[in-house]
Order: sequence, then C-alpha cells, then structure tokens
Amino acid sequence: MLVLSRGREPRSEYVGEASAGRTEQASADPGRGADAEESAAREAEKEEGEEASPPDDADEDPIGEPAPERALGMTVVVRVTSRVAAVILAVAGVYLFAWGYTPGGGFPAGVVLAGVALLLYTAFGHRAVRRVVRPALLEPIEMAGAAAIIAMGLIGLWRRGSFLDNWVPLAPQQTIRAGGTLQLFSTFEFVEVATGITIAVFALLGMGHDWTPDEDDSDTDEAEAQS
Amino acid sequence: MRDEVTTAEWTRRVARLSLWAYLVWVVLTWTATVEDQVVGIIVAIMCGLAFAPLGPVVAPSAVLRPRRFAALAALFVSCLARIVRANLSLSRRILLPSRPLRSGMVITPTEA
Repeated sequence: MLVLSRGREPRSEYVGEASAGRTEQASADPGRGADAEESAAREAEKEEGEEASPPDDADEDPIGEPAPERALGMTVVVRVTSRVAAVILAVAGVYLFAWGYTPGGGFPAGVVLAGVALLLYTAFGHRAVRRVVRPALLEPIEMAGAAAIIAMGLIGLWRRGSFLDNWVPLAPQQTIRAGGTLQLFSTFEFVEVATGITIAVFALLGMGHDWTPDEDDSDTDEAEAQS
Repeated sequence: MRDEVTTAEWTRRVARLSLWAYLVWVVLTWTATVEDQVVGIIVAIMCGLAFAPLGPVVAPSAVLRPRRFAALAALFVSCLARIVRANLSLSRRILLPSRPLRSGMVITPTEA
C-alpha cells in the first residue's frame, strides 16, 4: 500500500515530510490556517534558513564561529575515518549474514548496513546518500525482501509440507551454504532489515519541526473533573 | 559526485576499494574454499562500486612502502603500549581510590 500510494506524494526523498503533510492538511481542511504564534514561528524558521548557504564541510567553517555548525559535512578527519570504517563495516555486515547461521544473522547484518548509511550521512551530509536513500528505491527493495521470506516459507509448505521447512540441499558443515533455507532466510532478512531501518531512521531525520501549538484541552479537563 | 571524475579514476577507485574490501573479507572469514572466495570477490566489488563516489582511495600496496610501513608499525606498537598502560592505570585507580583522579569532569550545582 505504501508503494502504491507513494506516487501521489509531493516528494522524492525522505526530507520533506512536513511539507507533504502541510499540502495534505490544506486539501483536507482548507478552513484551518495557522494562528499568529505558529505563523511567527514558521516565519522565523524560514528567515533562519534563508541566510547564506551552508559550507560543504566543516573544514570551510571559520574557526570560532558561534554554534550551531551549519556545514553539510564534517571535517576531513571524520570523513576519512568514516570512509575507512564504512568499508570494514559493510564487509563485516555481509559476513554476519553470509556465515550467519551461527551467531550473527540477517538482523544484526541489516542493522550494521543501515549504520553505514547513517555514518556516511553524518560525515558527508545528505548529498552523499541521496542517490540510494530515497523512497522510490528503498521501499520496493524492502517489500521484495519481506515477500521473498514469505515465498521461501510457502515453498517449504509446498515441497515439504511445513511452512519454512528446509528445501535447499544442505552443503557440508563449515561452508556458507551449510545453513540451507536458514541461509536464504538470513539473506532476505538482511535486505528487509537494512532497508527497513534505513527508511525509519531517515524518515525521522527528514521530519521538520512542527510549530503548531498544542491543543488547549484545559476546558475538557475541567468538564471531566466536574462530571 | 560520479560526474566529477574520469572513467580511469573511477575504475582505479573501484579496484582499490574492492581490493581493500576483499582483504577485510579474507581476514574475517579465513577460509580458503572456492565458494568463500567467490562470495568475497562479489561482496568486495559491490563495496567498491558503492563507496567509490566518496573520494580518492589509497592502494593497499601503499602500505608496503618502507616509510609508511615503518610508521604503521610504530603506530601499532604505540597503540599496544598505550592500551596496556591505560588498563594498568585504570586498575590502579580502582584498587587505590584515594589517588587523585583529576578526571577533568566539571560539576555544576543546579537548583533542582
């Protein structure tokens, strides 16, 4: 459903959730506009965002500038270290599920890969991951991972009479394919978890601040107290 | 990022990254079967393609240059020595808590 409905949303990345919500709000409830407090807060945020464009990385930020840092990426030390760590982490993540029928498996491997995406995002800024971290790519892959797990289980039901039963010939011990369908399960779980966690994390990161004031429900509380 | 580099530079980056990733795979798996090596090569190439846009990559052979090799060896020895010294220092602080800690922690009183 998510993928089918995605085409109607006015955004192509995880950044922009708030603007997508505002458009929906305007069409669903056109009579309700922002009050004075909300308008002032939004105006102040807009002015803040319209200041000089932020530098590409923290190396270009003048030393001694008052916080917060506005650079898109971090310093060269962090960027180089992240690139070294990213390769090691990515290979270790795949190792966790490839040899993962012993301690390890698809879930931790997926979390490691999502961590790599987050690490690169932190070090290099959004532009480093925007070609990969976008709904149109990640959401179909995530769904394919989940569908593959179900399909694998159903093949077990069809071939062996039991859901998720092993239907892959077992290789000798101490080899990658020794896990049978468990190995396939780990692989698809890896795909599902890596994309799922990346979607969840970047969807949260992409959320704008909601300046709408809280509903004043003191009248309701008083009415409840009297009854 | 891809458009800023030439094809030769791009190929160099992918090859070097793949080689680094393959070395990590070999160290992690330490298994000399054909199956393991094939999986390792595929994983390494995928890593190379994925991380190539991030910037230039040093070839693994650079480690073998005498000056860099000596610097890395010195770093390794220094790390080992500092790890041992830090552990001994921590043990001493735990066993003898009366020693001045000088942790650098700033304690600010609050009204709460």
